[in-house]
Amino acid sequence: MTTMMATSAAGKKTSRFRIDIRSWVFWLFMAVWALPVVWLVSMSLRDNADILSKFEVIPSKISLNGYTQFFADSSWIGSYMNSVTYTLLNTVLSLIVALPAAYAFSRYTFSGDKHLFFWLLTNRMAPAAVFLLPFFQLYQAVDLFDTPLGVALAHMLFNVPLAVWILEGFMSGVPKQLDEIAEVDGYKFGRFFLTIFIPMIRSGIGVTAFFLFMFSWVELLIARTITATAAKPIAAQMTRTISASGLDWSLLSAAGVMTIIPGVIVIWFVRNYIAKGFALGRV
Amino acid sequence: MTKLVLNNVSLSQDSQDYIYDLSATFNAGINLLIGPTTAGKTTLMRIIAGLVKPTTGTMTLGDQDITKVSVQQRSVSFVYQQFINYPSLSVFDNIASPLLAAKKKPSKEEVAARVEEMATLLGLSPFLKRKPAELSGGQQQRVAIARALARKADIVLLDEPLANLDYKLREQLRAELQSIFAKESSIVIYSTAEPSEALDFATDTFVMNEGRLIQTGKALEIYQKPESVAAAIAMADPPINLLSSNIDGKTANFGKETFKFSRPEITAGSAQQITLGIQPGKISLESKGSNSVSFSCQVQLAEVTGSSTFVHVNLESGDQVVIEVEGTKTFTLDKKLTAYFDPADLYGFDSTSGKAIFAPIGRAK
Repeated sequence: MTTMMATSAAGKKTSRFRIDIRSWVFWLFMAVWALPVVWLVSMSLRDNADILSKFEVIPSKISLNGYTQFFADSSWIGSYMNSVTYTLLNTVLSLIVALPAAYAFSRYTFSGDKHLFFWLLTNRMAPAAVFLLPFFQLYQAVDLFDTPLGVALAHMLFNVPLAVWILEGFMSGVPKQLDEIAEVDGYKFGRFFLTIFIPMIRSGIGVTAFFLFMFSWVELLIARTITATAAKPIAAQMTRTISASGLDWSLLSAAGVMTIIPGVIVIWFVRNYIAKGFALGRV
Repeated sequence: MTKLVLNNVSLSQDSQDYIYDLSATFNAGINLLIGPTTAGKTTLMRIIAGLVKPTTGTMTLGDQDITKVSVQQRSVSFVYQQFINYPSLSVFDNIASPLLAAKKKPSKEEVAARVEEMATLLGLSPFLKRKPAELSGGQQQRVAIARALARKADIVLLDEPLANLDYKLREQLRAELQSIFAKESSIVIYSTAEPSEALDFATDTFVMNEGRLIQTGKALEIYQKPESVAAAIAMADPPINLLSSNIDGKTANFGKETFKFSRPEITAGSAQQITLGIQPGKISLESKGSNSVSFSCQVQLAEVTGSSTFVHVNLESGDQVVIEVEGTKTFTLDKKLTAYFDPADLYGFDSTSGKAIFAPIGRAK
């Protein structure tokens, strides 16, 4: 009895020790991974003189100078809002276009459907730089240059195929009999699609929206080329701040923190769907 | 009473034929569609529902031609073999959905009353607020059936509704369905692959095979007097034993066993090859009188189902036969047995066309 207890206690000890090692590895990884982010947040809360003179991670003197400047200067907050605008616009438009397309690919067979579906993906195989010149010239001609809508449309070239690809996977997971049942029940197609079908694949739509948002939010090359001042994205603004007096460290860090926030918010909203989405669909 | 009449309906897609020139009349009440898988039962139901347009032929419901009427306009409901419900809607909303989709929207109270009525009928009252995924398979199928019945459609199509349920639930739900449909005035078309289900419903039965309607009539009549091998196979449970035999009007052979056999359907003197059929239950291991024909065989496999044992045996000729023995018995492999049958229990079918030549004489099952 005593020996048994001893061994079981020993077993417990080793297992707890193991869990300890594992969680240490995890926290070590988290620390390394989070370091740049922590550093950025820390810098954004100090002023320039402080940043350049002292080495510290946890700021001893908090200054919100960077943020005040960011929100006061229209070129900063303006470009930030530009990015938010075209990203949201792109996400919504891409979904509106991709939902019916994905439904068609998932439900109907027509000649060349498989080739067309694959061709959609090949759109993503070309580097964005390839499309810079055509977009630049075309947009000058049709007055889309330097507008948020223009950027949103340009990003759709990459995002719509992605959205169709992901959504098609989710839609094909819904049995076709369900469409038929709705038809037999007497639903007109539009009503069925909007009130029954779309709610059913909402986790797929959430996942898709996340990817669309992320691509458009971080994409810099196209967004910078086809805009000048009126629709300048925040990332472009951040790369254009090196002046004769050097970098404005504090302002730049504040802008960096602000740029991370939308991504965090989006992930927070889709965090439940995304695991399901990764498990179910074609992500 | 309204009738659903199919006139020369056929379906071919991509130069493949699915339904061949099918004519049938379905009356109000339960109509049973039986046949093996790939017989075209589901396809026929999809045509009746309007989900597929027939290549040729017409359908009339009462005196209205419904061939070209769209699915949404047809007064029809459908229950699939798989449990298909709207996963994002509650059980209540699922049952209410065909009512809400109707052109003349009933009032909220009417909908609620009808849903309650259906829920009580199918024992779903405690689950109305749940989602279908939170129910068991049997309950999910009840929801689908409740939804199909809710709108009081003229035609109710049930495509093997109980096939995916376990045995006990199937028996229970089958009995319930019979009493539910007995009260309905709709034309109910119920498809199944199980002969026992057809015999249990004991109603107008339509036997399908390879896209053709091969026999119609009451289930028991078809069971006793199948018009073809395919009908006999479709209606036989357990599967019927079939083996070829040389027959000349005086004698016939069963494997290597030759016995005296004459039937008025067979003209004496002309030797021909036919297919003999006998149900496993009609072969026994004890002689049952002077008429019995005996044959020797070797045990290959014994399946115990509880109330009876199915012994698979090889004849000396190499043919395989299944014998149903009552009770649970054990048999050693390769054991030699002598089995008996009464020639009066034999079915005879034409070897090439499969048409029935003779059926067992006299005593009904």
